[in-house]
Amino acid sequence: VIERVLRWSAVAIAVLGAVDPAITVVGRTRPRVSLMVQSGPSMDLPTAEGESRDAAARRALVVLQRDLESQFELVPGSDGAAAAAIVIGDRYPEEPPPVSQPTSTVTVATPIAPNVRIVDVEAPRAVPSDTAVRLGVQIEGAGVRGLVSTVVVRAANAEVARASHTWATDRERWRAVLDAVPIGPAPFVFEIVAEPLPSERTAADNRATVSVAESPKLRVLAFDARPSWASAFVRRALESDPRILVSGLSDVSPRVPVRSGDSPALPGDRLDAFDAIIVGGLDRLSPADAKTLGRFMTERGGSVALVPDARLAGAAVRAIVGVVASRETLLERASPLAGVAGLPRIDASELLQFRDLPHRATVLERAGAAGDAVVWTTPRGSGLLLVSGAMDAWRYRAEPGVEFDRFWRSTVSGLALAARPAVDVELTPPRIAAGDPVHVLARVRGMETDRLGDTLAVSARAGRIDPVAPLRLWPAAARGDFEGWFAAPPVSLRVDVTIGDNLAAGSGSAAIDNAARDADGPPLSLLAATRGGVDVTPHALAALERHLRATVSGQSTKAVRRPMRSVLWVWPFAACLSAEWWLRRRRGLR
Amino acid sequence: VSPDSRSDTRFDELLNRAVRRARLVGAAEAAAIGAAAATISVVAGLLTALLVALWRSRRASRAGVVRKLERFDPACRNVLVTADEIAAGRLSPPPFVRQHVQNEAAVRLESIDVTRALSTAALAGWTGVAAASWLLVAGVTTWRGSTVPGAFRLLGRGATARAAQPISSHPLHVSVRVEPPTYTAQPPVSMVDPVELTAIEGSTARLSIESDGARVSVEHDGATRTLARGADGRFAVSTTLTRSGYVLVSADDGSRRMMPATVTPDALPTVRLATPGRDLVYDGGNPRIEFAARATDDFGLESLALRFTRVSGSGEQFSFTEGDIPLTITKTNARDWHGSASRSLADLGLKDGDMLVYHAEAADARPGDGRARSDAFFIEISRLGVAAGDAFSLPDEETRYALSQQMLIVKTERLNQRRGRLPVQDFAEASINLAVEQRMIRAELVFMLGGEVENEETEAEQSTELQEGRLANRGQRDLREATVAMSRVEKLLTGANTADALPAEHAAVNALQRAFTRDRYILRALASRSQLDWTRRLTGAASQAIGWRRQLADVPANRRAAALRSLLEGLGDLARRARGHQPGEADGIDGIDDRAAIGVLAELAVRVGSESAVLRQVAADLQRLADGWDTLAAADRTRRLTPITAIAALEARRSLADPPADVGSVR
Repeated sequence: VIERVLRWSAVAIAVLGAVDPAITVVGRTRPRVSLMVQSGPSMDLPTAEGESRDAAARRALVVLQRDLESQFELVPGSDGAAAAAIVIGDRYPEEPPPVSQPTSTVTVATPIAPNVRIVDVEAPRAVPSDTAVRLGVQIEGAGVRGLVSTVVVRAANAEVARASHTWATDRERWRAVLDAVPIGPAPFVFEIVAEPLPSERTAADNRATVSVAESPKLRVLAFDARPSWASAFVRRALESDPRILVSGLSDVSPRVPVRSGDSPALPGDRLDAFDAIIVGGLDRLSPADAKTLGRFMTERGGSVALVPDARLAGAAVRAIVGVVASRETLLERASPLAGVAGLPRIDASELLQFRDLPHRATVLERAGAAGDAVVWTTPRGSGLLLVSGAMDAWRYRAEPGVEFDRFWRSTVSGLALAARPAVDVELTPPRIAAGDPVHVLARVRGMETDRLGDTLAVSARAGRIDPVAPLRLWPAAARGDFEGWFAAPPVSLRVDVTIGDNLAAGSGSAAIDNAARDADGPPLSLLAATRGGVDVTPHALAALERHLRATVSGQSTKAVRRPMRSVLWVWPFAACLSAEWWLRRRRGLR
Repeated sequence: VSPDSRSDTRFDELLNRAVRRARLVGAAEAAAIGAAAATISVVAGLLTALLVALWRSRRASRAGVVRKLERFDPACRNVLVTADEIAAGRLSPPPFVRQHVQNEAAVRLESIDVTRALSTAALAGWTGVAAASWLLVAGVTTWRGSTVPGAFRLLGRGATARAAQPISSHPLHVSVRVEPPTYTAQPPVSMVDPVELTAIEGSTARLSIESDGARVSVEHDGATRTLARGADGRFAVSTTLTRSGYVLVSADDGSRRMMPATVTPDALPTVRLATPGRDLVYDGGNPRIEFAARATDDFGLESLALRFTRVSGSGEQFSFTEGDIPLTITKTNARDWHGSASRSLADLGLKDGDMLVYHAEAADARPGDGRARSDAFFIEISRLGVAAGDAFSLPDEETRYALSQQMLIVKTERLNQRRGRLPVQDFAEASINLAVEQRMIRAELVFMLGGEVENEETEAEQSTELQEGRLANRGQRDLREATVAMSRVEKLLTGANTADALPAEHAAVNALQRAFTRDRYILRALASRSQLDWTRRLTGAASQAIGWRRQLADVPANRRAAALRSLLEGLGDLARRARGHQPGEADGIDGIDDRAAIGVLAELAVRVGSESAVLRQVAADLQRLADGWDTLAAADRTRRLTPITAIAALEARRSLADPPADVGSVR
C-alpha cells in the first residue's frame, strides 16, 4: 500500500506540475509608511529634558517602530510611494515629501532657555579689496534678561570686530551690525561667535561662519552732459579711490569733450564696459543719451546715479526717472541729511525732495528724520537707478563732520557691486552645512541670453578649488536660468559656471557652516499642517499613532498564485520515487 | 675572616672597580654623542644622550663587564663568569671548589689591565665628533650671521613671514636713561628693557646695551647707527627725542628690541587776563583800572608781563606807541604765577579818541621762543561808544551790522516810549539823530560788501525785481531787502515816525541775519566787482575747438591697510598657537619662536605708523607680552592678546574703505 501511495503521489505531482493550476487569494495588505529621522548639527542641541534632540528622535523612532510594526510596513527613509510619511526632527526639511503624501511630524525642538543663539547672518557676496565687510548678525536671547551678550567676529583667528548688547526682555532679537576687517587671501572667511553666557544651556548654536568673495576693481563712468560741480566732486571722490577704475567724459561744449580714464565714452555698443555710470548736467542730456542709460540699466543690469544740480527738467531726464513728484527746497543753512544707518554724513542746503517714489524704491537719505526722500534708488529692469537730490552737498564737503567723499565712495561701490554680472551664481541656502543639499541657480543675463540664443549652454563645476567636479545644471522655468542640486562638501564650496565658449563666467562660493541648520526657518510642524498630518512631541506619540491608524489603512487585494511552479516540488517528487524504489528492492523486486 | 671570605672580597673589590669605570666611560660617551646631536637641536641632543646612556647601562652592568673582561683575556676561560655566578649565588659549588675558583678569578682579575680592557678610545672619538660638529656650526653661524643651531625659520606665514632675517631668543638687555631738558628741572628716568619710552620733547635717551652679538645697531625714526662694543663690554649710544616714533635695537646675533617712543611736547604757557577781562569804553574822566593776569606752564615760567599798544589820533593821522605795564608778580610755584597792576587813564596817557590795546605775555624757560599771549582787550575813550551803551565788546565781523541795527531798534524803542514825555522838538531831533545812525549803518554795510550806495530810485526799481523774484541769488536778495528796509527806516525816522520805523528796523535785522547765515552768498563764483566782457562772448571759432584728455594721477595702493591686515594675520596666528599651548610644551611651531614672533609684530605695528599713538600702544603692549610670554599660561596669553588684537583691528578698520552701501536690490 505504501508503495502504491508513494507511486501515485509522484504521479500526482508530475501531473499537477504539467497542468500548472492557478489559485486566486484575497486579503488585506499592510500600508507602507516611511519613517525619516533628521540629522545634522542642530540635532545635537538639548531638549527640555536635557537629552539631545537626536537622542529624543531615536527614542521616538524606537517607540513608533514597536507600536506600528504590526499594522504598517515601516520603511526607513524617504519613499514617495508610501501611503504616509513620518518625519522626526527639528526643522522643515530641505527636501520635503511629496505634497500628495500624508505626512505627520514629531518635533523634537523645544525652546531652550536661558539661551542665546545666532539666528541669521547677512553678509555681502563680495567686496572690493581693502574694504571693510559689513555683517548683520541676528541674535535671539531667551531667558537672559539683564545679561550682556557680546558678539565677536574672527578672521584667521584674529578678532576683527565686536559688539555688545544688554537683553531687555525675556525673549528678544538683536541685530548687530559689525564692520569686519578681511584678513588673508580671498574668499574671506569670518567666524561669528556669540560668546556663551555662564547660564546658557548650550553653546552649540552660538557660532556661524560666512564667506565673502573679493570683487574685481569696480568700473565707473562719470558722464557730464555739461560741466557740473555736483557730479565733478563725486567723480573726484571716486578718482582718488584705488578700488575704482574711473573713466570720465564731460561735454564742455558741442564737439569739445574732456576725457579721462581708459574708456571715456558712453557705452552705446559696449554696455558691459562699466558697472555704474554717474551722470551730471542732466538738463543737457540728449534723448540718445537717455536711451543708452536706459539700456545700460535694463539690458546690462548696470547702475546709474543721477546727480542733478538743478531741478529735474527735460524729456530725457523724465524718460529715465519716470513720474516722481519733486520740489526744490532752499534751507537757511546747510544741515545734515538723515541717512540710513552706517552711511557717512553729507550736508546740503539746496535739496530736491521727492515724494510718491516708485513701489520698490529704497531711500538712502531724507531731509530730516521723517522728511521727504533726497537720495534714493529704484530698480530699472535688471539694473538700479539712483537719484541724488542733495544738489549742493559738494559745497560742504570739507565741513567738520561731513564725509562727502566717503559717502559717495560707499554709495557708488554699492551701486557697482549691485550691477548684474553676465552669469550670476546663487547658492541656496546661503549658510550651508557639510552634506546639506545645495541649490545652485545660475542666471544668465538677458544680453548674453539674446546673443547666444538657442546655442546657450552652461557648464558648471562644483567643489573645492582643487579638485573640481562637474555639475549638471538644468534649464529652469525662467529664460536664461539654470539650476541643479548637489551635496555640500565638508570644507569649502565654490561653483564656477561658464557660458558659450568661455564667453562669460560667474562663480559663487560659500563657507561650510556646520551650525547653519539652526538658522531661522519654517518649523517642522508646518510640514504636517500642509500635508494633512499631525505634529506631536516625543511625549505624545500615541496621538500620532491614533491618527495614522484612523487615516491610513491597508487595501484589500486579490492575488493569483501558481503553487506548482515552485522548484521545491522536486524534493517530494524525488523522495516518493526513491522511497517506492527502495521498498520494492527490499522486497526483492527490481 | 676565613680564606673564602678574603678571596670573595678581593674579587668583588676588583670587579666593582671595573664596573664603576665602565659606567663612567659609558656616561661620558652618552654625553659626547648627545653634545654632537645638540648641534641639530637641544631636544635632539638630550634625547640622544638619554638613549645612548640607556644602551650603555646594559654594557656597564656587572655581568656585562665580566663578559667584556673575559673577551679581553681569553686565558681566563670563563673563570671570571663562574666566580661572578658563585658570588651572585646562582651556583652553589662545594666550599673547596668555591675557594679555588674565587682565588683563581681574583688572580686573573689582578693580572688584567682594566684601563685597556675598558678603554676610553670610543669616548675620545665621540668627543672629537662633538667638538667638530660644534666648530662646524660656529663656522656656519659666523658666515651666515645666525646664532642658533640649525636653520631657524622665524615665521611661517602672514605678516611675520616677511621678517627675512632670523631672530634669536638670546638675551638683549637695554638700559635706557632718559634725561629731560635741563630747563624743565625734571629728574632723569632710568629703565631696563622698557617696552616703551615716554619723554619730554628734547630729552636725551642714553642707551646702554648688553648683547652677545659683535655689533649692535640702533634705529631711531628711520636713521640707523651701528655701534661697536665699548671698553665695559656694552654698547652705548645717545639720541635726542624730538617727536614720537620708535627706537629699535638689533644685534647681529638676531636679537631685537622695539621701543615705541611717545614724545610729549613742552606746551606753551597758558596766559589769561582775569581783570578786566573785557573791552572798556570810557567817555572821559580818570577812572582807575585794575589789571590781573595769571600764567601757568607745565614745567616752569620765566616771565610774565603786560604789554600794550596805544593808538592816538583820528582820520589818517594815527600814532602807535608800544610799552609794558610792570606787574607785581606772585609766584604760587614755579609753574603758576599771578601778576597785578593798577593804572588810571591818566597814567596810561589816554585822552578822548585814543585806544589802548593790551595783552598779557608769559614765557617758559625753553631755548628759543617760548612766549604765549593772552587774548587782547582794548580801552577806548569815546563819547559815541558810551552813548550806545556801557562798555561793550565789538561783535564778530559777520554780525556786527546786524547787532548795530539791533542797537538802533533798542534806541528807537526807548525813544518811542518817551514820545509823550519829551517835547516835540526834542523828540524830532532825537529821531533825526537815529535816522543819521541808520544811514551810517547802511552805508557801512554796503561799503563792506564791495558795493556802492545807489540812489533810492534804483533801489526802488530793484525792490520791484525782488517782488517778482527775478533775482536768483537769495543771499544778494536778502542784503538788498535789508538795505531797502534801512532806507525806509531812515525816511520814517526823519519824519519822527518811530512807531512805523520799528517794524522796518526788525525787517532789516531779519534780512541781515538771513543773508549772513547763508554761506553761498560768500561762496558765489563771480565777485560782484568782476565784470564779464560780454562783447567777447561767442566770438571764438567753434570749428577749431577740440577736446582734451585729462590725465588722472596714479592712486597709490592702500599700503597701510595691507600692513595692518598683515599685523592682524600675525596676531591671529599667535592667538591660534596660544590657544593650543599646553603647560610644559615648548613654544612655537616648526621652529617658530613665539617671543620672536611677537617682537616682529611689535616692530611691524610701529613701522606701520609710528605717528599713531594707538599703534605705538599696540607695539608697547606686544613688547610687554613678549617679555612675559614664557611665564604665562595659555588662558592668560589669550586674555592678554585679545585686547591688543581688538585695538589693532580698530586701527585697521579705520584704514579700510567703508563697506559698500546697501543701495537696494533689483531681485
